[in-house]
Amino acid sequence: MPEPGNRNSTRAVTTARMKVMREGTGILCGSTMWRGLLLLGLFLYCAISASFDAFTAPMRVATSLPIAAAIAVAIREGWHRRGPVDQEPPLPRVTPATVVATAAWVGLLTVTGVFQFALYRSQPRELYPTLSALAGEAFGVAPVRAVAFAAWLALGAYLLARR
Amino acid sequence: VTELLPETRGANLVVWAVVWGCLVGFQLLTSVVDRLPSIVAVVRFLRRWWLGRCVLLFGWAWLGVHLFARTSF
Repeated sequence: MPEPGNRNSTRAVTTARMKVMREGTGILCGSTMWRGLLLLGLFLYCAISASFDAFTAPMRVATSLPIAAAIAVAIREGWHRRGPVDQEPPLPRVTPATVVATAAWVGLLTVTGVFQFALYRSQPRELYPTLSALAGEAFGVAPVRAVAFAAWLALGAYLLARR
Repeated sequence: VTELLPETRGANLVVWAVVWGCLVGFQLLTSVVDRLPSIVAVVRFLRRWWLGRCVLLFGWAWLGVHLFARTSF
């Protein structure tokens, strides 16, 4: 029969393990305090970035830094190696509906890309607005630019986060 | 393809609205019909292979550069 002290320590270890499993061990996971600090840092970064005018050199630097950080995290997590990087759930059984839906996604994204490229190849830009031209008009307001920048950073964090 | 584009700004904006409407509409449809994979499922599918991961990372970086950093594209 285990002693009460041992039982308590076993329970503490189990609780700690469950906490780690719940919170994850990735670079983007951690304690509530670290998450809070990370969110605060991101908020400040978005606010500072939004203070720069769109399509200027400081904005290019502000955009390049998260990309460099994301590439570093991806390499650290082994994204460049073959095979899955983490425990993904097994793929669902392939059905005709899955194939049709996947083809529909590919088709829709291809149409979007082709339309964007065709607009890019056409002039004047006022008549043929690309995605960035439309965004440039909307991003004239700093708060809109900050929200869009935060959304882009969140998308990157979602892509890099462990499942 | 460029010759097929509408020649007015308004018409091109309508095409943009239709394209984004289709993307958002199909995403909504996948949330209603269980068997249809959403864009999240497509992303998870791509994350299984290193090439898919590279495509996702490049796509995200391109989007940021395209929206915030570049001058003409």
